[in-house]
Amino acid sequence: MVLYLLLLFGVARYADRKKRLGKSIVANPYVYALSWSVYVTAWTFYGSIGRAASTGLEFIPIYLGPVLAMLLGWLVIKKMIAISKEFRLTSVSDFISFRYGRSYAIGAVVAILCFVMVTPYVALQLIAISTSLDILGGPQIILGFPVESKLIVALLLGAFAIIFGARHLDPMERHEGLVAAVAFESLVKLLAFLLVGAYVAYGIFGGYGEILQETVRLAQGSIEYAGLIDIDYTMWFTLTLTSFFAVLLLPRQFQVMVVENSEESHLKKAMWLFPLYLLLINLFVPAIAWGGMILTTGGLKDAFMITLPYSRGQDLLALFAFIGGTSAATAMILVESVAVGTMMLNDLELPYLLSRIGGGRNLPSLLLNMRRLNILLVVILGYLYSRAVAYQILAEIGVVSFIAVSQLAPAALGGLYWKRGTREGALAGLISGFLLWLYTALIPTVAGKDGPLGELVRNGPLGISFLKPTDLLGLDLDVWTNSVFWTLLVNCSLYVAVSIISKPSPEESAITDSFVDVYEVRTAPPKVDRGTIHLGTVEELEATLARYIGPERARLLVDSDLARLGTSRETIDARQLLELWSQFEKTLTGSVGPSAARIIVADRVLVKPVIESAETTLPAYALKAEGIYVVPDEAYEVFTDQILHGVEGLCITHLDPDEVRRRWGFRETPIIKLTDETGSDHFISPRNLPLLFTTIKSFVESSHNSIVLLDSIEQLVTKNAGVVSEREMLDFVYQMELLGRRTRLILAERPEFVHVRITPGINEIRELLFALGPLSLYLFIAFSDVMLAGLNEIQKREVMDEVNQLMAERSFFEESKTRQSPSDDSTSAGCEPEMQSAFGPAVLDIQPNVALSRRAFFMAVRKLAKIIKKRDPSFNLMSSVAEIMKSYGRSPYEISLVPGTTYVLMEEKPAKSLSLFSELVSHGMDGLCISRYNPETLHERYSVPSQTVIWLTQMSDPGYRTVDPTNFPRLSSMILDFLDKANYPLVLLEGLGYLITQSNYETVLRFIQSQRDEIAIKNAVMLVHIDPLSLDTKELHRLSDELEPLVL
Amino acid sequence: MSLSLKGIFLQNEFWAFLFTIGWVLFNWPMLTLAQRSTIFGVPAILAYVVAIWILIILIAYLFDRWRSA
Repeated sequence: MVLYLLLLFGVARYADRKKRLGKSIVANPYVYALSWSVYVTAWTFYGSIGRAASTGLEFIPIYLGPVLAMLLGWLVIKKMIAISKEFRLTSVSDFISFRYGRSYAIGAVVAILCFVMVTPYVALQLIAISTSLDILGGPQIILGFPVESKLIVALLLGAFAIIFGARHLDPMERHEGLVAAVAFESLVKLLAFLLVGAYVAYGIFGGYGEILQETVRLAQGSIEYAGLIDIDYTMWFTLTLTSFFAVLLLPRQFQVMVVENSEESHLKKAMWLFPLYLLLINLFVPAIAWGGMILTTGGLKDAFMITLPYSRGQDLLALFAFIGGTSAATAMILVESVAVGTMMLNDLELPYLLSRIGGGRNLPSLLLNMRRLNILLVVILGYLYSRAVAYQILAEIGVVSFIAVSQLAPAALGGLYWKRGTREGALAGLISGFLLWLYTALIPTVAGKDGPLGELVRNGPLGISFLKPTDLLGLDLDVWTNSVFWTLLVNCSLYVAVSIISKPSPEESAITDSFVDVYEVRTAPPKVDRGTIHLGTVEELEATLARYIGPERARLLVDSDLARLGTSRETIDARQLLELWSQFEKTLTGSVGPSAARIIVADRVLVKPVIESAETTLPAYALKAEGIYVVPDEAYEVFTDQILHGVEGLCITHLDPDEVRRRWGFRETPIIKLTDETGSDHFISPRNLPLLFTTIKSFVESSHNSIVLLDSIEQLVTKNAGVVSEREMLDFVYQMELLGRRTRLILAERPEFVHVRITPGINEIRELLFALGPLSLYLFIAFSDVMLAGLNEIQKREVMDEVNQLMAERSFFEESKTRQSPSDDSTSAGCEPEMQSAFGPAVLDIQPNVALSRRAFFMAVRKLAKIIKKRDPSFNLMSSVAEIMKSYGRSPYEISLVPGTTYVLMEEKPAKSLSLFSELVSHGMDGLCISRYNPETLHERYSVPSQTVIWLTQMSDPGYRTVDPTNFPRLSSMILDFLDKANYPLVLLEGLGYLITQSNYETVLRFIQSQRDEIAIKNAVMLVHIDPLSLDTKELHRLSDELEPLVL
Repeated sequence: MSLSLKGIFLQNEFWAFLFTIGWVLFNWPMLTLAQRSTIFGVPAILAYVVAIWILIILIAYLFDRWRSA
């Protein structure tokens, strides 16, 4: 036995060494599939034989659940793997607690449930090993002196699990040595089963058929044996159901299937290899079980695997069978103890510990030792349990464990697909299921015949028979079905009912969205190819990680993340640093679990939301909860008014914080000063834009009702001109624009810096990039860099020469009609003189005092594309800018819609037309939708803003803008009025069939022709929706001739 | 308009459907078809369950093969 354990040790060490050399032997689908076979424990190795000998075919459903689960592998397991990889979740308790807002309570309940469930299960394995040892000759096989074999086995396995399962705090928690050992053991136990089975079938009997025929004869001839080929359908269903849940949610299965998965593609192979393995390992179960019974072999039926060859002098075969059984038991103990030890630490102990001692202590060795202690605790408690309870009782523990783990199913699988499932619902379901499981499954199993527990099981509490744990409400079900029925019924019902009546927090909702929609494409921030930034934050990140995973591993991890991002500590740029920080919480989650990571991250929030005061009067300024407001003159007054009315504020200023407090009278509200001074956490260098942004972002995320004052972007732009890249500035402002969707963002800007019409009061702004200073030019530079990247040097030079020539003639950019110039006489954009230095090495000689409106920007991009295309005919504008368009939240259709054009969209229902309109309007175009639909319907179905809609109807509704479908002069004047006022106009004409019905085709055609001319003159875009089935071919042809086709 | 078998295999809905069918085939009342009878001396219920088991392995194998291709 010791030799076998040493062999396992060698296999595990070999796998670990190979991994360190970069030649992993575990990262292949066959080893992965074999590791899944940790499902086959001593309970199934010996227990299946015992069950088959006692109750016939009822051992089968324990494997049918897993076989059926494989049919859902590509749906369910793949999604579990994707989620766990995305959020670095390393145990089933992490998985469930993370889904419900990183809930400590849920993580702790799941960890406790698993711990309670696994202790008797481990005991079963230890007893199985010691029983088979006793059959083969007693404990002297181990060491030769009278020491209890179970204790020795427990200690050896505990040490093994610690060495290969808790050698270090690996954020990704993959244990290649352990997996290699488990895969090896899977082969050994399969081989042992097949050899013993073949020996029984073909060595003892005259073939498999002989055993089966004899069994059938016995079953048909005697009532005593009739059950061997008969089945209890209810029990069959119950066992299939619980084994289905078990294979997905048992801690050890989650560990090998999800955590240890190195490639998603390996799952496909495991989906058929695992059922094949289960089929093979069960192939000879009837032969061994029924063969042993026919031969009236004495002793435990479960031990036929050993006693059959052993009693016939096949000592070596019996020893190999013992090794097979030991493999099954040790693999289970190793993986389960590591999995449960990790979840105990991450989801039960650590969050409690951190909330007591804080996150500031240096914790790696403490965490590692706690994890090791947990592993040992699982094994030792299993040993103690095995001393207290007899094998006959433990034989049923496998089913009890399966029922326990089934209690995780509503929260885990429901949470995987059902967004409405809430933390409260999951907690209610889990706790009720757990308590009912204790009552209906565990107590009946461990209660002796006498004593209060025995009395409870026999007669029910206080003698109330319909509350008997094994027969609740007298439904007369078998003990397991009774337990499964009641636990899952109550668990599921409470999960759904409480979820429906409770409301998730915003944080929980956000996590739920990313969890359930894990496959939705996330736009990765594009790479920046120039500029460097302040480096302190990389070291800061590493130092924080080091406190939990140790300095060496933190350094390695940061280095590997830097390598993945294609950068280094010296050359990292702002976007890469932001991405590195965004990995921070995930890395911590992998190391310490989601609940503890949440505490640590919350502890890192530099500026915590504080309510200054909550006056009972109404605020003087009415602001929406989300929005960007430019307030030239009274920004601090507006900000103060809000924070005095219960809104949590953050003030970012270039002024002296003491002066700000004195002048506007707020005390608690945090103030960040933008300065190069050091000496305070509340000083941030104006050049450290990533730190500034993450500070604001973490503040907004930790508040439910916030306002941020930034004074001002103009000063940031000025101070950073020539110091940080335009792209970095652009990214910062764009990220702030996105934050404006989650908070009230007040910008104290001079009117000269703003290019849209504003008043001295409060001005809501939608898009900062086209509204402030030189940002639209920065955006154009970023686009032009991307567009020119594919050209060779000569082509690039030619393009630049032509563009520079046009710029010199002032005919490249269209002047922004709404631009407000500062004092100078030129086409200025409010840029300070120093800003011009930012354009020093620019590829194009762009005048820094040009501001681009949205339309002017896209026209310039198209103009540049035309010039490039002359040199490089293969140039494709859409594909070249697709990535950068996405990264700045632009709709890809914007680039293809040429101003001054009227497009026709052919589709039966206007769904795509309305969606496109809605998308373009949400991206900043000024929209006018002329539609047959009610504005409210349009808003509900397609998110079309109601105020953009003119409803074609003969009714008059004071709530909406309406027009009679026969009143074309009025309709024309409404469109004309809109075109005059809009900055970047987009008109959608929907309901053409209705217009024709109400008047006639010729009138409508003339109307469209006249509008098309207006659109061309005003450089607007018009979309006309046509249902091709509503017109005849000739009519359709005439109409199409007038318009440009647009295919969506 | 018709989809190839390979195309059907690659649809998620197909697996959900197969899972449902699997449950039905592996449980009451379908199991009663094979209850208490034998096929060539083998308990019919055992032969029936093993046959479906093998069918599921085969389907998963084909899926792996086609998906990889």
